Amino acid sequence: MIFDIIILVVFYLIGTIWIEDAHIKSLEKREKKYKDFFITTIKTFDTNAEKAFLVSGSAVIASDIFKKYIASWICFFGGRIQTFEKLLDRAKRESLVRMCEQAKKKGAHGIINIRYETSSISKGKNKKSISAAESLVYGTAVVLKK
Amino acid sequence: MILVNTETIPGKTLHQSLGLVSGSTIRAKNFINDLGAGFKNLIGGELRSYTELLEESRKEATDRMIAQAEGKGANAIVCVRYSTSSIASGAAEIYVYGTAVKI
Repeated sequence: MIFDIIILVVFYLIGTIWIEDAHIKSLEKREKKYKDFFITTIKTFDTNAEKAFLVSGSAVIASDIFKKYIASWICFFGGRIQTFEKLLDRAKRESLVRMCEQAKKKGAHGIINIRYETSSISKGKNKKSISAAESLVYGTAVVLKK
Repeated sequence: MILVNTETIPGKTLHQSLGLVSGSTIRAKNFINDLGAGFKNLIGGELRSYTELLEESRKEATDRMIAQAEGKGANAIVCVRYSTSSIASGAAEIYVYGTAVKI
């Protein structure tokens, strides 16, 4: 029992405090770069465009033992699973930043008609299987006429 | 080949629609990567090998779709949609479809 608690605390410190917080900090830093970048889910584009192409970004983020443990208890009693909400949020933000990076590298001025796609890599029914969230985001990058 | 996921291509006019084109692929990583991912699953964080896997399979599915469109004589694909699903643990299915057009 005490051994279990020690393991949980250790993985909480590594998984949530160390890895997750570092990831969120790096995301905030990179998101600032794309604050003025034009991203929309609107399909049509009225302004004169020179060319358009598809861009996409994806990320697979794994959960840790502590998150799984908390989630299994919340699944029993019901309620919001905040540990997993944070996980999916990280995956979505990471993939969006990657898409923006790709678009900017190719000289685009904005991205229209973006679509999110989320899937779980593995269901995680038995204890050995991998549980991770995959997020894919894609859209049409547009280069404006000079 | 121009790929967009909008109905029209900004800055271009569409002349002829040539029908649906699609491509799909199912890929898996080797067991060493799966072991690494299993270890990463203890502490959390990004699974780079799986991100790579999905990126590779997405590229392959897209290439297949492009080959199909070229066979039809198209030079652009509009309304491209991706869909992902997991078949088994560690394997990913990517399906991509769109409408081949002439511009």
